[in-house]
This record gives sequence, C-alpha cells and structure tokens, in this order.
Amino acid sequence: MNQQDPDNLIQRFLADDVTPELVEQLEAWLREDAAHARVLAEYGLLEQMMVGQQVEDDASSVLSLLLEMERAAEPIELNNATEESRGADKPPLSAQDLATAGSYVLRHSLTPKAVAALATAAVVLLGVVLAAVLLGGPGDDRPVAAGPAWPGETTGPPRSVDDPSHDKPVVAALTAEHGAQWRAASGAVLPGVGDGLHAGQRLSLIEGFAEITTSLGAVAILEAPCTFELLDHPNAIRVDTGRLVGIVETESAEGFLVRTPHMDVTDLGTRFGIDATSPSATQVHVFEGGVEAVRPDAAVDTAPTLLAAGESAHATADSGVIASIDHDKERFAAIVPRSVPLPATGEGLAARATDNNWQVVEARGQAIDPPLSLRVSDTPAHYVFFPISPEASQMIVWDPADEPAIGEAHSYVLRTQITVPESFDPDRTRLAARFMVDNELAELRVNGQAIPVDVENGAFLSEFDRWVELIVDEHLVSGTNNIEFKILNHRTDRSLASYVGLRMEWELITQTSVFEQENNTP
Amino acid sequence: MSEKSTQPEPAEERSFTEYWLEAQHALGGFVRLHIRDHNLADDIIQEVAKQATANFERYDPSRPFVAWLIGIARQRMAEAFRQQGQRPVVFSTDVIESLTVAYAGLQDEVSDRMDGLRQCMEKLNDRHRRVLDLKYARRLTSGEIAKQVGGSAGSVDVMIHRLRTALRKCINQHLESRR
Repeated sequence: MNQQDPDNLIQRFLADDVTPELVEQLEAWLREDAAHARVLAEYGLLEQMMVGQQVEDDASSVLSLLLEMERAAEPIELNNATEESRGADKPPLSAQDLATAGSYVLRHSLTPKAVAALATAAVVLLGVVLAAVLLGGPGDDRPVAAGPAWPGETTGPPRSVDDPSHDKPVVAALTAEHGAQWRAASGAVLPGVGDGLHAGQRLSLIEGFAEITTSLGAVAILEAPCTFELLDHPNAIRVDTGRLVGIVETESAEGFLVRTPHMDVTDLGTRFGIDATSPSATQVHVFEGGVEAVRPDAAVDTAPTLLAAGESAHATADSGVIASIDHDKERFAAIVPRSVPLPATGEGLAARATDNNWQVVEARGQAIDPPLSLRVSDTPAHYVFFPISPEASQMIVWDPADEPAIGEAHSYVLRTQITVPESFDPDRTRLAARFMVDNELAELRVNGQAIPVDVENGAFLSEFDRWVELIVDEHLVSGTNNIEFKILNHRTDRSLASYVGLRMEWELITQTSVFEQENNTP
Repeated sequence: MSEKSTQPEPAEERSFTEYWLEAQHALGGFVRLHIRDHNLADDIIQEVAKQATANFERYDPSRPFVAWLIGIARQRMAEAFRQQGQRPVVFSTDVIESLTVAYAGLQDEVSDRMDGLRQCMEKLNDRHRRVLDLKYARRLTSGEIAKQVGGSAGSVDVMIHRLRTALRKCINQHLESRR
C-alpha cells in the first residue's frame, strides 16, 4: 500500500476521489491517533460552516427566539410512551413549542431544509402523541381496523367470553391471515381477521401466517410457529418464539418496538425481519431503513446497536453483546413483499446499439408509425454527468442523425411497455424509478393517464444530470401497461447534435404478501 | 452562604430545539464529510431532524446528543446510498466512533470557529472568495466554476484544496489566540 501524505488523503476524500485504497489508507491513519479523527472532523465541520455561512446570522436570532418561546409554552404530556423504553422518564416534549419552532423556520433559514423539517416533525409527533393517547389509553377498546367482529371463516375453537385480557385496551388488530391455526390459553378467545387485539393478549400461531397492525400503523407479519403477546402500548409486541417481518411505512408508526427473549428491536422507519425460532438466539435483519437493537437486560445508559439496510445482528443467551452476522433476507422469503426489476435504459448494450424496450411514438405532435427505437448514446461527453452506477443504465437517445427532421425544439413521446404479473394485485403494486431526461419532461403518462411528478426535484428543469425519483402507484393494470414520457427538446440549431434522451432505472414492487399470493397464483 | 444553585440546567429538562441548535453544525460536519452533494446532504440532515424530533423521547441524555444524531444519520446515509445505487458509507464502525467523539468535542467550539471563519475569509483575495462562493453558496461543480473564474476544473480543485487547508489552519490559529 502506498503511503500518502494525510493531508492529500483528506483532500482526495473531500474531493470525492474515493477509492477502497484511499479509504484503507485514511482509516489506517485515523487509527494511529485519536487526534487524527479530530483533524478530519474539523474539515467536515469546515464544509458545513462554508455551506451555512450565509445564514448564520439568522441562526443566532432564531435560537434566542425559539428558546424564549419554548420556556413560555405549556408542555403536552406524553403519557403513553413505551413503558420501558429508555428515557421514558424524561419530561415530555412540548409539541406546541415545536410547532412554533416550525413556523419560525418558514421565515428564517438556519440550515433551511433541516430545520424546516421540525415543523413537519412537530405535527407528526403531535399526531403520534394524540394517537397514542386516543387509541392506546387505558379502557379504550375501540378496534383500530374496520371489519366484521367475528367473520364466519375464523379458525380454531368457539370463542370464550371470559378472556381476562379483554379488560385491557385494544392496541392492534389482526388484519390478515393465511392458513392460520391459533392456540391460546384455556378459555381465551381466538382472533379473526378484523378483530382488535388487546394489551396483554397472548397468542400462539401454530400454522400459517398472520398480519397484525398496531394502533399506530406498524405492520407485523408473523410466520408459524410463533408465540407472541401484545404489550400495553399502541406500537409494541413481544415475540417469544417465531419469525416476524416488521413493516413501517408511516411516520406515526416509527418507533415500533419488538421485544424478543434476547433482544429488543426498535424500528426507525424500515422493513426488517426478526427470527426468534431458536431458543438460544435471536436474529434481526434490516431490509430497508434502520433499527436500534439493545439487549433486554442492558443498563439504561447502554447505547443501542444501530443497524442499517443490509445489516444483520444476533444476540445469544450466553453472550452479553449484540454481534453482527451475515445478512440473510431469504429466511423471510415467505413473507416479504416481492419486486421485479425492469430493464434499465441501455442496460447491457453497447454504444449506439438499439434499445428495443423503448420507442419514439410521436414527434412534433405527429404519430410515428411504425414507432422507431432509441439508441444508446455514444457521446462520451454525456457521461461526465453520470457519476452514479453507470453500469446500471445508459442514456438512450433519439439521434437527429437518424432523422434530420427530428431534433428541433419540440416535444417527443417515448414509450415502453411493462407487464404487471398476474400474481400481483395491481391496486397494491407500484413502480419505483429514477430517471433523467434530455431536455425536459413535459408529461408522464401511465396507460394514457397523466402522473404528477415532483417538479422541485429537477424533472422540469433543462438539466439531464439529475436523478428524479418517481413512484407510480396508480393506473397500473394487470398485464401490459404503456408508460410514456413526453419530452421537450430545447435545441433549435439543427447544425448541432440535438438529442432527445432518457435514462431510467426502475423496478416493479408489490405489497402482495403471502396472504394474497394464494389467491393469485395459478 | 447563598442557597441559589449554580449547577447547570439538568440535561433532561432541555428541549429538543436546544439540543438541536447546539448539535446541528457538528451533525452537518459529519454528514458533509461523507456526502459531497450539498442538496443530498441537506436532505439527509432534514431527515435526521425529522426522525430525531419524532423519537426524541427515546434519546438517552447521558449520551452526547450529536452521537445520537450521527447514529440516525448513518442509517439515512446508507439508505440514500442504496437508493442511488452507490456504496454505503465507507468508514468502519470503529473509525465512525472516533469521528463521533471528535464531533462531540468540536460542538462547543462551533461558535468560535464561525467567528474565525468570518475573519479568515476577510483575508482571502476576491478571486478566492469568489471560488468559495460559487462552490458553497451557488453549489457549482468545479467545471462550472472554472468557466466563470478561468482555468480548468483541475486547477479549481487544487485551489479549493489549498483554501480548505489554509482556512482550517487560520481558524485554529484564531481559536488559539482566544485561549
């Protein structure tokens, strides 16, 4: 390994000239002396200060105003925080304060987007607080999910009316099941789809799968054999044995707590799997987002282990630590949502090769019949704009050399077709994509229906080096779907190259779980 | 003897806003150390603020607040990298922990460092200030900056390299002079 001057290493790192070798050298230097980490941290802080320098003057005035208002405001009690969560004995946040802070942020940019989030977050937090109070409060047994009280197709023995857990509030609902067979304590009721589940209710799923939704909206899909108990909280469950996939897609549901014999896992907005099938160990695998994991017997000041997407950890009965393990999504294959990757533009094709997945079907308002295919761009200059995973996709273009009449400033419609598998419920299926256009996106249509696109993210700007994130969750149908990009080309000088281009990476995702698969699979 | 307490305000009585305003620059430093795209860094910081606000009741005040924020930021960065098809945050956990400690230590110096930065910026010539303005305020690429100030993208990179080094040294001298 070539040893380089640390300053040069840092500057290369800051210039985004990051290679594995550079990281290795930088890490070696950082480990030599704790003071080295401070040097690098100072450079990071300098970057932050340089970016924020223009708004710093506003910051000090906002600070004093915020603090004054916080001290004057009446707090709202967060009396339904997780009963055993760390820091639960802290005085509550003042939601009013935060809402007030948000209003200030709208007028004073501190770090504008960061602090603006406080306004949103305050509202979200207030929502969580109110939901916790309203849905999870003592004596509140309103079900959280609509549905029949006792549908006719429930499994298991006749219900008993003397289940002692029914004195406790409803904290979740059974929202779906597939081949489920239940077992409960003698005399206890067995649940059916649509039933509210009460704090303290303990159940064993001896066959099949069950989907439980907490009062705050977290979804837990359980795979038999599984024994679990609803905790006295609107967003928490204890799994003694079994397999669970947690899905948290709403902000109100963040903080979903899953307790297991060897590890407590708190969701931070994510999808994750917990495997507690072994009596001697519990595993957690994070698919998206992140979680905090801590041992149940950890001291209150123990820092949780933070796990991000693609990371996994386990805790064993005979070890006091949470340790990393290999990521293994496959062990949850029966219950995680499925996705189908769609071919990226130009994927696997050489320069100027034809991408038969996309056609120009309209140019300057006139239909092109038959439609003409696009080619992979062969202009190296284009690729200086594409630093991100160039191997995954390429810009495909309509080259005016192919048809001189096309390439003037006008609109062009590029079309592709995708197939939503029969096993996917189109109502629960979405397209997740990112794309770039040259020059400007005028409209996106799915099966002839216009789809709104976030204009603030660059889609409507004349820049084709920006990724625009896109989720399409409407107008999709089972089978063939037409996706059309109506693109404006700005260039009017016909003597110059005037590409109409599109670059796209996408996948089809279904929320279809095991519950729907049975019905949809031929 | 007066019975009036001179003890600092107990940590658990502090609000999120107080914590946030104190730690945000250190958090920003950590995020921008790893992410060169200023807009993406802004988004990450925004997400951290949002998540930290929503989960503030779970913050353990015996730990540095900025360490908690950095923990959240790591997840958000990993998620952002994944969504963009990039490799996740590059440093090992032990190095990240060292950086977290360093940022916690720097947190109390932010105000003085900002003062130092202002003074040090005044010592730069117009062209250097212009380059920094184009990079950090207007968020232009080196190539775009080169078109405006002359030279090549490479020469702009070298200039920024030297400016960073000079500014850090100048700021540290400013801090030393105040001690």
